[in-house]
Amino acid sequence: MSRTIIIGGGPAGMSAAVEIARAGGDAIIIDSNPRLGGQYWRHGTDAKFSHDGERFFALQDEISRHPEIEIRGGSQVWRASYQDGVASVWLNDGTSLASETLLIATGAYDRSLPFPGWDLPGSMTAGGAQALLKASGALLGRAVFVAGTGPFLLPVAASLVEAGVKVLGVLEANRVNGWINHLGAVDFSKMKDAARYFKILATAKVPIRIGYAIIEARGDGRVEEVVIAKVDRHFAVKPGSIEVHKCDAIATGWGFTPDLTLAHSLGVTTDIDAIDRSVVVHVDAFQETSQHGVFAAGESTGVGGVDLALIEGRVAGIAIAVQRGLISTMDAKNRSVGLAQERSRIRKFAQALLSVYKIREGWRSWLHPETIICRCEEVTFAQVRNVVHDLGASDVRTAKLLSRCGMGMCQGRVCGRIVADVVGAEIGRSATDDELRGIHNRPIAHPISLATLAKQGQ
Amino acid sequence: MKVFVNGAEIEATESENVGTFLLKRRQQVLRMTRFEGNPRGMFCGIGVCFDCIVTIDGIANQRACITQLREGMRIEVTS
Repeated sequence: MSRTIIIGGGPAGMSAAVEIARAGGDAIIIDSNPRLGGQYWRHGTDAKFSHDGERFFALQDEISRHPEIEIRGGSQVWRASYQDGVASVWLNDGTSLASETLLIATGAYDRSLPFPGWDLPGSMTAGGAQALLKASGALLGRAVFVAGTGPFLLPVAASLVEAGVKVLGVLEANRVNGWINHLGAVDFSKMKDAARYFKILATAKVPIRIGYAIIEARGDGRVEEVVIAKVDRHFAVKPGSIEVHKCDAIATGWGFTPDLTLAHSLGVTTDIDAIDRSVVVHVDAFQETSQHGVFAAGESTGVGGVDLALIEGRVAGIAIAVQRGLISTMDAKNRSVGLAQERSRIRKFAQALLSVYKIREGWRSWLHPETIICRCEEVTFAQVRNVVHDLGASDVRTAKLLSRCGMGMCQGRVCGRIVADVVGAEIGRSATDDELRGIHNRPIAHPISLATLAKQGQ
Repeated sequence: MKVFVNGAEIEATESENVGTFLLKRRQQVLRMTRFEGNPRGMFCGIGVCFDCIVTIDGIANQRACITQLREGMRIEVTS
């Protein structure tokens, strides 16, 4: 059997690789980043971490002790396919790989909501602001607001403060007062993290405003001020609550979207999450997908954070070792003690978080007719409405074809879900499961040059 | 190492990505959009959104946020 292909060198991919190596197997980890760690452990050449670096170094050290684990960093998979029990991937350096076992550990990226001015320079995703900082200490601005929803806003704001950025406010749109008190009961380690972030923010006198949102960013060619407002339980603006503040950048985040492009190409069955309706890879107890030999771990099976990704990666790695005949099922059981229970506990916690930090439909009331919906193709809210009401588009696909929404260079990664929700609202129904799945259909995952294509044709 | 931004030679001290390198030099705007001519900069920071595309060594549409600086690299930014 060929060595296992692991797509993604984040927590899930790293922990799977370690289990495969412990079982005496070989694997190749492919990641677009030059270094291992994924988004969670993103770092520069000096590998500094504000916290939680120990687990990364433990995994990295173990991987480096196993020469049978190859790391192909700075490499992107632009195409994947599955046929007759063999998964194949094509890389942007013109090479391709095939194996009977493959792990999808492609992670997730920020889910964004559009608002007037979100396309101005200086407006970034929360994860983007964090990534700049982690990769090389670059700051998105000097005086910034952090806004959106979710527990991720706190570490982003805290790390910006630590880097010397003046954080003018953290705006959490959901009513989470009181919820934070339950955190400890569910997950004590998360409570400790949260307490650390609150302490950093309190020391820097950063206002944390619950039930507030950025509803507009303004400026001449870049973000110069923001409009913030108090929002109700459905995210609709409360009359009379509008404030305007000067700032030079904003970081907004609304949870995460699992990256399912390659999963879709591999033809695996997907589920629609019951709470946030995101598309996730369907896996069995061994993290195996509907395609024999293709496994998935981490955010691609549902956003659950680093602890869940590490466990799912281990479960997948052990199951791959069994499938490759490297270890017995008895041996696998011994290596998996406690993993299933821990996975189930964290998944429940993740689902609870999702329901507290859910995106409520009132965000659409922040849109102006000229607000950009599709950043790539510069399609406005008015144009999307137009294709539904004047051109008669009655489904998401037709609306996209007529408006070009989601058909630009990012292939709907940023606006796919937004368009599905906006079009759904305009035609008076929710996006269907198949419309949501269609968002992730990108036969060519990343642009490649004709030269690369020609090389691969040889 | 030396890199060139719009023809101007700039000394780069460390290997980092083109996006953070430019941001540290106050280059927030990386391109103008092709229909409306509006300025854009980095948005997702992780190679997902294609908003930070610049021309590198004559090849258009390269994502600044995931492209590592290389000795002698020529970066073209429109602003």
